[in-house]
Amino acid sequence: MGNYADLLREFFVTDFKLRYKHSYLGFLWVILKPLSYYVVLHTIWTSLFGNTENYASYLLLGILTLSYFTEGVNFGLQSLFNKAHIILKVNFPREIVVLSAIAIAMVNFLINLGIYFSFRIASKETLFSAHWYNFIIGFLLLSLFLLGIAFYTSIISIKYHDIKHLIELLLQLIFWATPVFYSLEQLPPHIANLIKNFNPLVTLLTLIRSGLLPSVDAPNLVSVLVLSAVIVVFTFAGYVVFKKTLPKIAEFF
Amino acid sequence: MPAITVKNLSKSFKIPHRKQTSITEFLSNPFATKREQDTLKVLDNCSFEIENGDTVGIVGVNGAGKSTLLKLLASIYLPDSGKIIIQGKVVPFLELGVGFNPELTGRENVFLNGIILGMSRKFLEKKFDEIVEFAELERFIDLPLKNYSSGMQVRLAFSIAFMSEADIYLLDEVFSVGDLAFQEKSKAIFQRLQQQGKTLLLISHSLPTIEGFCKKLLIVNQGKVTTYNSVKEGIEVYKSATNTI
Repeated sequence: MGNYADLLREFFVTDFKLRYKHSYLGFLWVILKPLSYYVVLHTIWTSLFGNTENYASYLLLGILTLSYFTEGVNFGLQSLFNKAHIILKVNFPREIVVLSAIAIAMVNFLINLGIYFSFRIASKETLFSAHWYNFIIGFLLLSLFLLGIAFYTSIISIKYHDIKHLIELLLQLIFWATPVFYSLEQLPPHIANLIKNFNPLVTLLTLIRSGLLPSVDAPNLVSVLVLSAVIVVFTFAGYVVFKKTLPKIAEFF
Repeated sequence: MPAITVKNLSKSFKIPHRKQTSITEFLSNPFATKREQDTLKVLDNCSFEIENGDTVGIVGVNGAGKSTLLKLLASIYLPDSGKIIIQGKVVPFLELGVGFNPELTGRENVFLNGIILGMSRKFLEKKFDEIVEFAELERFIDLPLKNYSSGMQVRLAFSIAFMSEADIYLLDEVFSVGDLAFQEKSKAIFQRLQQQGKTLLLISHSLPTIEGFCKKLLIVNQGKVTTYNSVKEGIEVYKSATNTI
């Protein structure tokens, strides 16, 4: 079991090192991507509808969370395929590859969050709201959800390459159907309800925001409990499917 | 108790006749959708045993199923049917330098490759100097691997691989690497493993290598595995079979 942790660490460190190895800005890309989103969305939204208190924080947290989700889904999807050359030669617990992919997305998120926090500290704002634990719960649930998604998609993508395009489309749609730059209250109630019921990211994002911003109300307890149960079952089932299916599809790589 | 017992092992791969790749293709010719699949029986009802401490060579023409057999033994593939019973720890690699990355330094690759092969970081730290010394790469170990010659890369890979401690080694074409001096060294390592009573299975196209090292021979041919207790006899059979084709 000691090797399990070593291997996870080794995959993680190697991929992290290599990701920006050949780029001039290197590691800065981790920060530049969400920042440029932020600049464009903030400029357009505030010039259309005017600035509101805390909008900058509201928007930035939305972008960072959505970026974490997008990266996590993409990295997870490619995780098995990118390690095919190792998987076909060495027998090791395959889920390590998936774990390390999600860990990279997670670390990118935490780095950006750290920078955001340092700005808030510099402007003497308090970091957490009274419901700080909501942030932790939201973050953990989102990470677990990403892991679950990766267990399914990484397997499916080996046999069906189409899923890459499908996921790309879904991620675009999810970006628009999640209150990243707008708030749910601004939508007509029937649409807001629709989005809230079908897009788990709405509740997750609200959890994360409500832990950090006093102006955002926490989602109601029942919806959080239901969502937690769904994510736990979804991810656990994903793990079982992953472990069962993977040995059978080694030859399809 | 034999180290490896294989009973009625079968493995086949499906090969679609016509590869239909997209819906547009399907729409342009909807009557050609009957997708016939050929099944290629790579291994068909094979049984054999390998005793503890044996060194067994595996030969066969290209595509005969040698690598598939090793992948089954390493549980990278699942058999369609049949049983594989293994007594002891199998080294989980078939090739040298798995996971090697040209952008990383030699040092980083030692840890990456070693850990992929199942060694712990602590163990590798202890053995690091020994690995580098055996590979004769002291001066280059902090250079990126892409600046190594291919011989140097294989030497490093070889040195890492044979640090791993296991009872059964599955080796797919790992010999004849490096220059003459290094080949001598790797032979010494190999003989040491034999003396320690390890079970070794090696695929090779080099008949002299097989004759030099192995005590038994497996011939993989048209889905069947035949065991020869005398390597000489096996090689004769193999040679004459290849000549007649």
